[in-house]
Amino acid sequence: MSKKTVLLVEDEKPLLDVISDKLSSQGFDIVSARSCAQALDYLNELKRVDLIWLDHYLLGDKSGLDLLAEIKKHSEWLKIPIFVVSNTANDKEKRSYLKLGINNYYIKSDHKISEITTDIISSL
Amino acid sequence: MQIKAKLISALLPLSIAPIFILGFLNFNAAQKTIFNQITQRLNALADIQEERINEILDRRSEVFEEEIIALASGFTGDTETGEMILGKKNKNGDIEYIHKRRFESSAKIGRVISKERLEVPIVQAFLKEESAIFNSIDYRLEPVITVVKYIPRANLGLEVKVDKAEAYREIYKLRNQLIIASFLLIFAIVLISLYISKSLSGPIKKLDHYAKQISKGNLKIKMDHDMTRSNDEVGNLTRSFSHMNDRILNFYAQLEKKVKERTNDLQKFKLAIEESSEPIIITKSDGTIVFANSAVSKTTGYSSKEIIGNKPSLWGGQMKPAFYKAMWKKIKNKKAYSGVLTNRRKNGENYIAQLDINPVLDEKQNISFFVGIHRDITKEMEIDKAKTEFVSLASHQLRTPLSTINWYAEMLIDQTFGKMNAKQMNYLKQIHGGNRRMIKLVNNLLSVSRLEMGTLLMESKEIDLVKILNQEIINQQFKANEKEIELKVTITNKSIKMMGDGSIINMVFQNLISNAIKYTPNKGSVEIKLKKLKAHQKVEGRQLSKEAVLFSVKDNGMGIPKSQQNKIFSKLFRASNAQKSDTNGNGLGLYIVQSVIRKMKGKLWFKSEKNKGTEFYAIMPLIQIKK
Repeated sequence: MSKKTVLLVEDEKPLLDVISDKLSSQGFDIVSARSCAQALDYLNELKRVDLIWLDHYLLGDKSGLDLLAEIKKHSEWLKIPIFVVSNTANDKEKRSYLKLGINNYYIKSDHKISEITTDIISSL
Repeated sequence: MQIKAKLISALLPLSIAPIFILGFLNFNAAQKTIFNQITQRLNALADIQEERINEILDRRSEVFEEEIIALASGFTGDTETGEMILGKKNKNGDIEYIHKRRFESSAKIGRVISKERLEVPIVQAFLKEESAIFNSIDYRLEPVITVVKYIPRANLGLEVKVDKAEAYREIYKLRNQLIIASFLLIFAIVLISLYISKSLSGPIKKLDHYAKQISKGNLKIKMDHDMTRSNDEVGNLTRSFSHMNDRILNFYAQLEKKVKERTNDLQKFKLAIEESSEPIIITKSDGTIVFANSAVSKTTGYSSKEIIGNKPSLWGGQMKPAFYKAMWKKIKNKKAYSGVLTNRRKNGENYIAQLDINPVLDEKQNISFFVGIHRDITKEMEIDKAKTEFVSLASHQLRTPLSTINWYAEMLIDQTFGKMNAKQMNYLKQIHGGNRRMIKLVNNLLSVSRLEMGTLLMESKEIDLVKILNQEIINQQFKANEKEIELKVTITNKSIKMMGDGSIINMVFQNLISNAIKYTPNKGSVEIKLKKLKAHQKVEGRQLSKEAVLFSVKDNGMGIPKSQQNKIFSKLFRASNAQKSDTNGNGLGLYIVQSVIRKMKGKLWFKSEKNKGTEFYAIMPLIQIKK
């Protein structure tokens, strides 16, 4: 079985690094983006993305919610599992994400990184 | 005196009237009788005179004529006015007196009366053979009773008469007395009638006057004392009238007092509405403004002159037509409306308003007017937005570095990239533990601010309380194991499903269980119970209105000192003994639990004994799942 590719969208460099390390250690290929535009570029370029790890606050004007809305406009990307991992505990935003359609919503500080990766692996 | 008595006293003199009438009738009869008697007597006298004249004729006296004249002149008939007249026919057939009449001083003898004058008694004497009686007027123009007789032997007419005045003197006297008495009686009747009519109509007139005064609104009239004291019907009426007047006066006084009170109340209400800081308008059913308080001018910038008679569209019209259509539809259906809208002040500035409209119905259930309150909430909205933004930002900004530390430490502890010695591992765990406490504090602070701001939007999803509690117990098991504390869990139901927000309800489970573990000494035990309660079941002396769950956590820790039991739900409060024994607490847990329970309209209480332990109880109403 070939390696799965994760599109990791996270603006905070230290977090981006540690998540990459964790996911790599779990056998994933990582493509990382720090802004909405960057993430869209990768999605367009790459033939295959198996999973998206998405943060809310991103570099630039657009947020993870904008990116999600954009992704949902493309039928070819509709089947990609999306996990939002954010520190934003704003219920309104959380609800907006769930409404657009995501697999799960995690608050970073409340979860071990291994908990999230375990969940992700089991969903694939 | 009663009116009846008065009437009777008036009728009494009238009852004498028939007697008078009888008197007059008797008088006429008496007059007739007297007339008959007199005429008889006059006839007798006439007969006597005829005999005397015949005697003189028989004696063939030479002075026949002188003797007859002397006889006639000397005649009195034993009366004052009695008179005898003799007449003879002359050659023309006319009648000629042959002597001077008794009361005639200067008249010459031989006065002639035409035979044509049949009304003169002496003329009649020659027409009739028998005597005739007359009621007539004599030469002195006095009424007299006359008897005439023709004396054939002497060919003379004889007339004997007496004055009616003398003949009827006695009965005339009686008649005059009767007339006087009648006049007196009539006078008396008139007087009595006047008195009675005055005594009757006087008070009635007065009453009429009082009634007119009262009808004019002059209630402070003084009634005649004689009238109010009088014990007849009018007196009674006057007293009733006076009583009624007093009652009306009293009623008016009370009414006036009430009106004054009501007016005062109204004034107060008006003042309260006028001075209210909330902009209040009253409109007709078509929206025309009839009242606007000063706050409306303050909010909209329009003067009350511009507002009254205008419509709220003066400052409205900033929303889509459908918005106003929906609003009118609701209020025209006699329902209260509540909504948020954008309005525009006179200076062109927009503002956000919380609009509440209440239709006021009349007794026929028709809309008589609308009361509208539109509160300018622009500032509140701004503050609320700023608060929400701050919370989001703070949560993100604080949690991001904490997450970084958390996950890096976790990676090291997991030894994904190589082993560490025991000391290093211990240090790392201290860093990790401290970081976790920091995360918990931030989470709690965020929960508190969100609960306080009311922005904590409770999700309403189908949740299973048993599942949530079991998950939380698993989460806390690690900590319990560290202290070798036994968690005794009693959950009576396999699942307890309801509509709610799992993360919020879990705040209750999490805080109460972690507190119990924290304050129970090593090798102690914590009892956790979850039980479904039926509606109408009695708990702590209070009957439940709905189905609910009872969650309880019992520790055998240090207990809460009695003096501080009333403060433990206060924000940032920590009991003195808790502070000494454990520094790992922030005084927010119970405050959060209480806030959540309050939001759920549940109940939270505890029983605690120093050095024996504490048991917390939380009742949360079950919100039924809609099927």
